[in-house]
Amino acid sequence: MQDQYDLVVIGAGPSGLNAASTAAENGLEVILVDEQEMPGGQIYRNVTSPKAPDRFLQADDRKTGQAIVARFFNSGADYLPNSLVWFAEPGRILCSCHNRTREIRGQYLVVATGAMERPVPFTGWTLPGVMGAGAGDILHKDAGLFPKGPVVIAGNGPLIPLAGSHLISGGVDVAAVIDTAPAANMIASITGLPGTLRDIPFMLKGAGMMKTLLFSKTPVIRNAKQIQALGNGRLERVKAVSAKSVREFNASTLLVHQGVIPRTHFTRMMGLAHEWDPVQRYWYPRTNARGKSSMERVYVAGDTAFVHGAQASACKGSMAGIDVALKLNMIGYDEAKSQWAGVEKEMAKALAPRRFADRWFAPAPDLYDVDDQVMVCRCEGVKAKDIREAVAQGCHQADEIKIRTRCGMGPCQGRMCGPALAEISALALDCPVPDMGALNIRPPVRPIPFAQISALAKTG
Amino acid sequence: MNNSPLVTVTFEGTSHEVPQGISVAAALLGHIHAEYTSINPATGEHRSPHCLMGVCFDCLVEIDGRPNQQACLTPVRQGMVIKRQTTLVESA
Amino acid sequence: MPLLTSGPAPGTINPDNVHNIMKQAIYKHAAQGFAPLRSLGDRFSFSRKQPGVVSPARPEKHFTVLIAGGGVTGMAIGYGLARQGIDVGILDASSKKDRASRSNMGLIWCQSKALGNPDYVKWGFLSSRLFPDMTGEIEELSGIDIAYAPSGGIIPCLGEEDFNRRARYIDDLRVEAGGRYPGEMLSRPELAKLLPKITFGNQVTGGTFCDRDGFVEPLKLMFALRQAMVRKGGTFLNNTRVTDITPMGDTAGGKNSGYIVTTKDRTYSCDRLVLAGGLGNCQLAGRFNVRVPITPDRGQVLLTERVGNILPIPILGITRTPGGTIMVGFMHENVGTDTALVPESVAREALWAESVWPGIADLRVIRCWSSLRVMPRDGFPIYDTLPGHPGIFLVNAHSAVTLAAVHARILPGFIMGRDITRELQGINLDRFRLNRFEQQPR
Repeated sequence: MQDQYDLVVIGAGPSGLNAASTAAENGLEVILVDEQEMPGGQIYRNVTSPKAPDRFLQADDRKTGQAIVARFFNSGADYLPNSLVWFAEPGRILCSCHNRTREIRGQYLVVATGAMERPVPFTGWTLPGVMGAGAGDILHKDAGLFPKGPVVIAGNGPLIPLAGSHLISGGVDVAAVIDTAPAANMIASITGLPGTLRDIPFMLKGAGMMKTLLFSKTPVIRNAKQIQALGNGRLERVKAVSAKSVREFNASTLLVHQGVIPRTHFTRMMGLAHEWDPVQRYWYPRTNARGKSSMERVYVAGDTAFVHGAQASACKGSMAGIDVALKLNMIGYDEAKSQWAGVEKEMAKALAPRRFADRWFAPAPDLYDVDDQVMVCRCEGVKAKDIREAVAQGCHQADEIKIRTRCGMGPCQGRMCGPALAEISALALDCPVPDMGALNIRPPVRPIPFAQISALAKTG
Repeated sequence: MNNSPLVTVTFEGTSHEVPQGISVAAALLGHIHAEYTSINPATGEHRSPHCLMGVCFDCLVEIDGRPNQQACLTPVRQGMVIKRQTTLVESA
Repeated sequence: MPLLTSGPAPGTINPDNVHNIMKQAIYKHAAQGFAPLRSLGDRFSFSRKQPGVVSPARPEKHFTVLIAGGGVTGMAIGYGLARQGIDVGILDASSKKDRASRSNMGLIWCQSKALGNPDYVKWGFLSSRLFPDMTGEIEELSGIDIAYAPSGGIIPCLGEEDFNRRARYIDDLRVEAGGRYPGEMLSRPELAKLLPKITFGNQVTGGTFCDRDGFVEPLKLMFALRQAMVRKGGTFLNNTRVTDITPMGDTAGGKNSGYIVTTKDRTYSCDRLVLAGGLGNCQLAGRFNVRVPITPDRGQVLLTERVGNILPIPILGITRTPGGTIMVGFMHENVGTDTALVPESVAREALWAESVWPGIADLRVIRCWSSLRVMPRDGFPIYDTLPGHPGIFLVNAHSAVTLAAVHARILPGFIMGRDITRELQGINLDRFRLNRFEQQPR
């Protein structure tokens, strides 16, 4: 451990790994801090495990992930796993490792905390047995487990065909795949099609998944709305309303997915400026082309900056690492430019299908127009009607609604209910969602034992 | 199928052998088959791991006497005592 | 509006340009919350209106009383007025700095403070006595349960010296009160009997206990007052910031003909105006050359996970909220309006909490925040009218939750013209000139 690093990277997904690698390769003193035991983030979770060949559906994905991790271990950067970063400001982070908080100082910071599934409340979503589709993937990559069947997969997002085809190939009893993508999305996404055609592997991957689904016996319900999870204390049935009918399926597991959004708690805690994307309907931290945020010496890389997928994340991490090396005068501008050139080409290819994907998988405009009785805040039990009532009583900002209803004040501090809070209240006020503002996030950004905070006063 | 070393943990007083290195959440879901892992203090509902990546906080369990541990972020360890999170800290 | 980054140095003012330079310096000061010195106002005549503000349009609505500021203080007064059938409106701006009503610990605390100011001591205990009735009313009107708990309150003492000092203080308060005072010293074993589910730290020698203290859910209190006021006919105007205040008619000789109050999009008029904007009162009163001696006083709070009902009586600085989480906070820092969180500084608070209750070390902190109390220079409330403007009332207090009941029951009479010095002497602005009550309350 150094007294001070040139660069501290938070998050060991593809972007964090590459940011650390490129910076270290250029001669900087770098440390990568991550909460998991092994590097890889979510998409490359446990990619270095001997069991990975069984658990990664696509051999290329696995090999790419392994290469990124191997490069990192060869780069000379320091690595601090099993550590929860709970505070950060320019110049330093505080992280909890082995039940002790330590301060790590760094001239530059790269925040690469990744993305999460878009949390969309619906009837019964808190029942045991209802999980994110990503959770199914994590169970498999971490523990070689498949969810308990019968499994229903529902939603609108890239993980739907992935999860569906994966489970079917694995022999799991998939009772139904319920697609909630509105028909309008197909038309809106056509403008992005030319770009997609430039990325043949992406298209083939998608086509392959669709083929698996189409040739299985699993019913695929399209244009569905109003997913409901039903059961007594546990998931027992899934109900979906489509244009033509109401369908109900027995299920032990419901995997839901409504797209992927940046994890912005960390960036909000740091006070970075954020922008609103009207197509995908999420906030993301403002960055320049190299990932530099609105705050000096703080970069954001990977899906935290904007959800572009693993390949683009790896590129964004490299861009940031190179830029930091340039800023610290370890390399000259010409050298930086030449390093960037390779990355930029790959990045363009990775971004090619995004316009299509973002529009194909865009959230439906009424996605959050949920029934009054739907529980929006899982932690505190706040329902949609409570939010609407607060709006009617004059609470017109997200934070005001939060303090009026307690929505967002529980252990998850608004991670699961923040988007819904803003969308439901914006609908009630008939105003653009970004006008509601975002929840005010304060440290610790992860729960931290009291003793670790008091310890900071003991060492002085 | 699984040939990794096993560890013994207890859940609600019963012993279970689970593969080393997996998360407590994975063990509870896939090996121990816990119907639920906590009772939500605000609503009284049964809860169980939902996102498996540390975001939803619905996988809180009591581990070795410490409440409010995120099962999805904690790897299993030999001798670990896991209990459902059903009561809040009752004395300190 | 061009602003100088620093005022003119003495002796450097070009007499030909003095009007513009002084106007700029004065506006810069006013923008920072300081009112211009009276002497300047006397020597240079200049328009009180900020450049760019148009003459007020015809008011859209008239209120008997308008209150600028919808925190717990303004809202309690507003409820109290509405309850008496008076036509009241509250203008509430969403502020990044004035958030005391949204970030306090909800304590009703009267004990062990304000030696030397017996009226204020009585004022606090009166509020505590009136709290249950007010609670019943606003809960019924609003449907919101404010979780009022007349639990009593404990101030812990660490070490012998602290215990003796506190005991002397209570004795002095008792003497001042004429022999009867509702606070007593308890030994460590006696404290332990009150709180059997926690174990005190080794240094805890005992503490005070007062059965008149308690706590509420402060956010619910604010919203319950708001809804109760609205149900009684008051009007809540949210997301509106006062941009101008103009007297209607001549104010010479202290005449009051009402005021026109302009906000960004609307104009209102009123017979009486109450300034209850917390720190924002500096800017509001500053328009009338009045300097309000209040400063931001930063507190930092730690919030833990939920626990069972192990702390039914708040310890000053450690409170278990009705929802079950524990709040720790007692620091006072003078750092201007800086609400940045400094972990090392919060850590000192955490260390103190551990010395009182070591078991807290095992809990997890889920959130910290820092916020600004509105602290009058001597710690006591300010209830006054602006000099020359008997229709504009200035209200500032840092114990808004404790005083909510008297603010709801008694201040409305003051606003409508009753002399409040019957209950409370020395709560006006003049006392700062006369340097009374320099001692800060405990």
